[in-house]
Amino acid sequence: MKTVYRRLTSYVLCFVLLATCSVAAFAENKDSMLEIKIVEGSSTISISGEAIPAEKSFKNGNMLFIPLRAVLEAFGAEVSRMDGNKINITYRDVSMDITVGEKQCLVNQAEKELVQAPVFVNGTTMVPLQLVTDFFGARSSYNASTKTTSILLEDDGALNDLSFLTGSISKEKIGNSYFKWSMNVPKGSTINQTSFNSKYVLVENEQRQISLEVSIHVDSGKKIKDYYNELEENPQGMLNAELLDSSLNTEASSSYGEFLYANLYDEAVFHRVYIENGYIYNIILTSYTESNPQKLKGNSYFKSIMDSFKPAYSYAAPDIQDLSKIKFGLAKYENYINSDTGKKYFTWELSVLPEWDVLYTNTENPYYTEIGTSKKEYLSIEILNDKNVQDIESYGNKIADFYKTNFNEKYFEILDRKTVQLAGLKACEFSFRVTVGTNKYRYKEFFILSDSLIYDITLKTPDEKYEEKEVNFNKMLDTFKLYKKDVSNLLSDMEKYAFSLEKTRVGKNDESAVFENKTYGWSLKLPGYWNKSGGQDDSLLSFSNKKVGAAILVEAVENTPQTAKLEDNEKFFYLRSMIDSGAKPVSVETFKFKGFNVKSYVFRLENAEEETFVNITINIIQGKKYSYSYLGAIPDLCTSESNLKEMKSIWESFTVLP
Amino acid sequence: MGRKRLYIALSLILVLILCFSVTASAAATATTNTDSIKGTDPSIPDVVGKMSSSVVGIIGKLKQSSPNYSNYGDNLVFGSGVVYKSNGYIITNAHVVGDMETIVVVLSDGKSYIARLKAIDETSDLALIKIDKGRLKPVKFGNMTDVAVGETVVAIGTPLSFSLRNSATKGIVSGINRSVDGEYRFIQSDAAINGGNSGGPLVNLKGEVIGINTVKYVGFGVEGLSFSIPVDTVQYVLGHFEKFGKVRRPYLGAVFMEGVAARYGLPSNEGLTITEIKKDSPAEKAGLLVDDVVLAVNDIKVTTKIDYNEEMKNYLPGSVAELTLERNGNSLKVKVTYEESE
Repeated sequence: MKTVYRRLTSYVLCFVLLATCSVAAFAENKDSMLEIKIVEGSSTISISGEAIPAEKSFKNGNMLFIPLRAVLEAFGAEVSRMDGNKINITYRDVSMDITVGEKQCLVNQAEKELVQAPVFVNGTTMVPLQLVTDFFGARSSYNASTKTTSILLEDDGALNDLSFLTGSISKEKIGNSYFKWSMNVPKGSTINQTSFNSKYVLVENEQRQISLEVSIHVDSGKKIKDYYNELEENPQGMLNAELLDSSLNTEASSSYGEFLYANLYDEAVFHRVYIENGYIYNIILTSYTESNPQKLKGNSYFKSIMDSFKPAYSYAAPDIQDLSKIKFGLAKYENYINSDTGKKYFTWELSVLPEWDVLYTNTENPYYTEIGTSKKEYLSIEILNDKNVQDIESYGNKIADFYKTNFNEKYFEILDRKTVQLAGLKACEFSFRVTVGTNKYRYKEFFILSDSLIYDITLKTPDEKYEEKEVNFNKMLDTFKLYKKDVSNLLSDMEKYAFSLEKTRVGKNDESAVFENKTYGWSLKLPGYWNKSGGQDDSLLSFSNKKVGAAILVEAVENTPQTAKLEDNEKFFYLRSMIDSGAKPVSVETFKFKGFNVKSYVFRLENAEEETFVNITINIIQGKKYSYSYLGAIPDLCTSESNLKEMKSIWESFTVLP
Repeated sequence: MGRKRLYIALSLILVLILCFSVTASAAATATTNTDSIKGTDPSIPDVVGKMSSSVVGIIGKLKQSSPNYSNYGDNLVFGSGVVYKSNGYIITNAHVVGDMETIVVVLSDGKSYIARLKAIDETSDLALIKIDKGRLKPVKFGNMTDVAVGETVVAIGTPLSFSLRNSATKGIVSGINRSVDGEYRFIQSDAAINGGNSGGPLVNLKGEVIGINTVKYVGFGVEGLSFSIPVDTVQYVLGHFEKFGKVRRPYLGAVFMEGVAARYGLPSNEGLTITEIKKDSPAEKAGLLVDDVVLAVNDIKVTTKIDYNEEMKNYLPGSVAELTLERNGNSLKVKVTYEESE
C-alpha cells in the first residue's frame, strides 16, 4: 500500500516535471519557424499549432493539392486574382504567375511548368504542394502514421545584417573593383560619403574619432617622384596645411609619397599618395582628437591600416566590401536642383564614363550642369524655359538662325543637323566644329522638349579624338533619362530666376534703348537685351550680351590738374590691368570722334588653357569734365558680321553729354 | 474507496500543476509588466499587451531626392506602423515612408524585414507598406460614432529614438472633428506624441484602433495637443488603396476661399467662395463663376474647406452632385459632374 502510494507520487512528480519542461520548450519554439500541418481530407490546417479552417486537401495521383491562399498568406505572400483565371503570387524576390487549369506558369518572367495544373474547388484555388516547395523556399515531410504533411519555412526573410541602413562596414576590408584598390578598415566604421562615381569615399569611425578618405584622380602622366616634389614645394595644395614631415618610399611594393601635417582645424593628418593603374590615389587619415601627426603615424594600429592599402583589387580575396558604383562601365549621376523654397527637384539622370567628374553645378546657374574631364571634354545639360516654343523642330530652326547670325564662319562650321530620339523624345541634333586658336573641337548639341521645358544637351570633345570616342559618347547619351514630377513648381522657380536676370536689362523690349549716365556725363544706345551691371558707383559700368559673350565697359575719371599729369595706363583701371598682365597692344591709333580726341589701343588676348581668343579694344576719350575709357570685346567665335556691326553701332552711339 | 479518492485527488492536483506551469511560461513570454503600474485602470496594460504585437517600428534611409537629405548625416528616419493584414500589410503615415529609399520594419519581437511601398496618399498622410511575413496580428478598427470626448486612449509607437520602440502613452480624447493644418479632420488627444510616433495607433480601452497618430501637426512649445487621423479617414483611404491602388478624389477645378469667421474657427454660416475656376474643369463646364458661394453639396452644408473635403469622401470621379450656390444675392442649384484629379 505505502509503496504503491510512493510509486504513484514519484510518477506524478516525474510527469509534472516532464510536462513543465515540454511546455517551456513549446513556448520557446513557437516563433522560430513556420510549420503548416495538413492532413488530407481535413477541413482545417494547422498553422504553427493553430487550427485554421481551410478547403480540404486531396491527392491527385501522388501529388497533394493544398489551398493556395491559406498556405501562402501564412508565409506572408501576396496572392492576387488577376483577369481570367490568372493568379499572381509575390513573396520576397519571387513573383509567380499561375493560371488555373494550366501547368505552364511564369516565375520572375521565366517559363516554368508545374507537375500538375492548379484547380478550383468550391471557389478556392488548390495547387500542388510542389509549387510551395520548389519556388518558395519551403520544405515538406510526410508522417505516414498520422497521415500528416508538414510544410516547413525555416528562413522567413528576417534580416541579419542592417549595415546597409547604417552604412556600417561589416567586412574587414573596403575596396573598389573598378578603380582597383583595397585596404583594411577599423572595426565600427561607417561609410559617410561616396561620390556618384565612387572616386571619392569618406569613411568615419565615430568611436575612434578618425576619418579615412580615399580620393582618386586620373593620372596626367606624372611620376610619383614629380608629384611628391610638387607637393613638397607647395604644401598649400593640401588644404592650407602646415607640412611637418614628408618622405618618398620607393622600397615598398608600390611606391608612395607620404605627408604628415596638421590641417586648418589643427587635426593630425597622415596622407599617402600612390600613382598606379593610370590613377593618382590619395589616402588621407585624419584624427579629430590628435593634433600631432607624428603620433598618428606612431600609432601602430593606424600605421597598419595605412600600410594595408594596395592599389589593386582581388576578387578572390575574402571579406572586401566593394564600394565601386560603376555598372556596365558607367557611373550614374542623378541631377537635382535645390530651390530657394527648400524643395529639391530631381530633373534628369545620366550615366557617364567613370573618370568623368562634375565640373559645374548649381552655383551661379542652378539649371546648368557640366560633367566631364575638363573644359575641353564634357557633356553639359541646361534646362531652359521658353514660353514661345511650339515644338522642337521650330525651336531647332530658331537655334540654327541664332548660330548663323552670331557665329563667325571662320571659327564655326555646322556639319550636320538631323532629328533623332533622345530620352525617348524627338530631339533636334546639331553637329558642329569650333576652332579656338589652334585647337578644333567637335560639338554635338541636342534639344528636346518635355513638359514645357527645353533641355539643351551639349557634348564637347577635341575634334581629333571624336571618332575613337564616339561609341562611348553614344553609350552615355543612351542613358539620359528625364524625371517627370512637380514641373509646375520648377517652372515657377525658373521664372523667378529669369526675372532676376531680367531686372538688369537695358531695355524692356529688344529695341535699342538709350542709357544715360548723368553723373559722369555720357550716354550709350544699346539693344534692350543687353544687361547692365555696376560697381560701387557709376564711374565704372559694364554692359554684357551674355548670349555671345560680348562686353562693353565704360570708366570715367575726372579731369583735374593731378589726373592730367597721368599716363593713360595709370589713369584707367582696365587699361592698367591689361598692360600689367603683360599684354602688349597690337596697335595704337589716334583719331577724332565727335569732336573729341581718342586714343585707341587694340589688344589681342590668346589663352589656350582658358580657351580665350579675343580682340579687346580700349578707346580713351578726352572729354571736357571727364576722360573716359571705353572697352569693347567680343570673342572670336562670335565675331559674325551682324555682331561686329552691333558693336560698332554701340560705340558710335557713345556721346559725351554737354 | 480511499484509493479511488486518492487517485482523483492526485489527478486533480496534476491538472492544476500543469495549468499553472502553462500559465507561468505564457506569462514569461508576455511583454507587459502588470506589477509596476499601481492605481491605474487595470485594463490599460491589457490593451497595450494585446496591441503590442500589432505595432511595428519603421526605419529607413532617406532618398537622395528628399529635401531633408544631408551630405553629412546618416540620413536615417523612423516612425511607427500598424499591422493591417496578417500577411504583412502595414499602415503608416505617408510622411514617414514617402522619402525612404529602403524601408525596414522591425516587429515587436525584434525581427526586421524589408518592406515595399504599396500605396501612398500625401493628402491624408497615409501609406500602405508590405513585408513578406505571415501570421501577423492585425488590428481591429473602432467606430467613429463610438468615440467619446473624455474617453481614455493610448498611443503606441517609437518616439524620438529607435531604442524606445513600442512605447505607450496614455491620455484622453480631447476633441473630435478638429480642423488643423490638414485636408481632413483630426482627433485631438493629450496622449504624448513625439517625433517617431507617427504612423502608430491611437487605441481605445477595447483595444480598437480609433486613429493613426501623426506628429506633423503637433505645435512646438505646445503641451498636450496631439493629433491623430480618425479611423473613418483611414478606412476611406484604405478602401481606395485596395480598389484603385491610390485615392481617387473627385476633381471640381474650383479654388475655394473660406469666410473670415471660418478662418478663425468661429461658427459661421458663410459657405465657400470660389476665387478661381480652372480651365476646362468640371466647374467651368457646369457654369460656376468666380465669386459664387458654395453653401451645400447635395444639401449637406459646407462652411470650411475641410467640411467640403470630408463630404467629398462620399464621391468618386464621375459622380454627380448638386451644389447649392449663392450668386449676386440669389440662391441657385447647379449640378456638377466630378472628374478624375491628376
